[in-house]
Amino acid sequence: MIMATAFALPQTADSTSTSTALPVDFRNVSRTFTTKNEQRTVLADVNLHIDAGQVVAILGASGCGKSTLLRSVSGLDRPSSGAVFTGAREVNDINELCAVAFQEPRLLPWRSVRENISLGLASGTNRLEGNELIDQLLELTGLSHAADLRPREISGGMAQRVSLARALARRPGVLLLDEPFGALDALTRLKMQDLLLSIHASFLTTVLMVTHDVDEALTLADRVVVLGRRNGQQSATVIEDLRLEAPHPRSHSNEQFVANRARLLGLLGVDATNH
Amino acid sequence: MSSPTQSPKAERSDLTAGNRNKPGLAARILQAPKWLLSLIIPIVTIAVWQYVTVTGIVAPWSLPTPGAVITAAGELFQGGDLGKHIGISTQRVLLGFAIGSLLGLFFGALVGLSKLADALLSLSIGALRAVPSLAWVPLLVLWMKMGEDSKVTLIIIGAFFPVFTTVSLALRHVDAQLVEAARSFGFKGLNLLRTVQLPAVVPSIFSGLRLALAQAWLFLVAAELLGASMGLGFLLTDSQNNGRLDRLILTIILLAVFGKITDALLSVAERWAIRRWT
Repeated sequence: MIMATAFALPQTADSTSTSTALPVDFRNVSRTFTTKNEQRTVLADVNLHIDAGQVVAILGASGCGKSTLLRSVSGLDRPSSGAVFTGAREVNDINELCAVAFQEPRLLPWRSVRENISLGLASGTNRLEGNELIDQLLELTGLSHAADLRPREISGGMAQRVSLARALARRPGVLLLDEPFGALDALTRLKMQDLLLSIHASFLTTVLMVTHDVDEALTLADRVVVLGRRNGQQSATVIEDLRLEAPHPRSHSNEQFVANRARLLGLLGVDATNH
Repeated sequence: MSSPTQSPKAERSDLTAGNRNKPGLAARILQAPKWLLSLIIPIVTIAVWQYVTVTGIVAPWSLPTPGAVITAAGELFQGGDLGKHIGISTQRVLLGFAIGSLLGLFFGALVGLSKLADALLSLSIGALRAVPSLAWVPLLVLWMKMGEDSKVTLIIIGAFFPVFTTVSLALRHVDAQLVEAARSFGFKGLNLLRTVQLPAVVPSIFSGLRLALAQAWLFLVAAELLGASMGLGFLLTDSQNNGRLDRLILTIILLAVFGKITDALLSVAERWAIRRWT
């Protein structure tokens, strides 16, 4: 285990956000996009129950609806049919119980790193507690020295850490990561993966992450869900649901890891012998 | 979102430098401070003006000497008239500019943010914009008589459109990803406008304001030319009627000077805003 001590996060009684992990339920979720001359069903009949506190990686080929699934949890998108629940609550509008970190950092260029993180604070957080939480997040993400810099003055990896800190400032029950490390160089990406594991060890939250990277999924996740199209279907659904029990840190050379890797790559249409 | 404003400029000057093997005349001249270079043309103009009028190449009844213009300024100033004309004109410009810009900001935000407002208003505002400034004058004079209201209203019309256009266009092009990120954190409506959209268009607002200020001076003269008892525009018609060429030229110079000064002040604010908001 990386960090055994949990962060003592300030609590506000009247805050709408939680600092406890929430389970996520997808019930018969389908999503159809309608354009001028066609209807395209991207996702069909997705049924998943994700336990509170799990780290779940969602894998799948491009365009199979991974991000759509994630957006249905955040409330940025709504399923055409079916329902998504975080905890006991159905997602109907922007879901303030969760927080998103996108593939791009999406920081406000006119705000300092600290001010950008404060954007994530739940409304109604009192100033003192907010500042305290931001200080902790800056330290956790190794950004204390950069607190007063502007986004254009920091590296891509740092910007992505700010984005992560901003999401954590919400103290989300569910942390949604949409290919958060996809645009980073290989080394920075490995460091971010370590950071995510240590964050998850100290922060009580469920993590749902979309990724293209099989190794990343096998390194980080408790569970890997693969979205894909069954034979003859034009819409994607869950085609694999793999539970990984191995403790962190995980060896990439152990037999189980290699076997899982080959299996997942196979599902994604890649021959593992070449990679 | 890095700073896109700097690199193209740097590249361009690299290019021009690369095109020449040794520092050319232009490059050597450019080593002088910019303010000094900007003063060359005004100084040469005055010198030529002085020369052609004093030597009689140009007759005094078609162009007075620079000295005569300065004397006219002194005369008007001592009589208290000059201060009065400048004061009232500046007041009209600032008042019309302020009101017109605020209206432009409001309607620009409305049209830029709401598809409904865009559908309802864009055509009508565009059509009003196409009306030449002078066409409003007779109507305004009939409706509001010759007083301050008609003049300030014309300037409001002039200042409104540049701000309206730049703000509504800029708001439509605010980075959708930033807006979505803020929305995902629960920002919406006025809060979203205040936190993301408005700050994102601050640089555009300032370029709109500068255009609006230039328009305000333009419309001021239009308003005062056609019916006023005070102001720089009145001084123009009054001088024309009395054949006071010295005062006429003085007024034109004053308009240039005041227009430039107010624009320079705004451009300082603009530069600050761009540093602060990008």
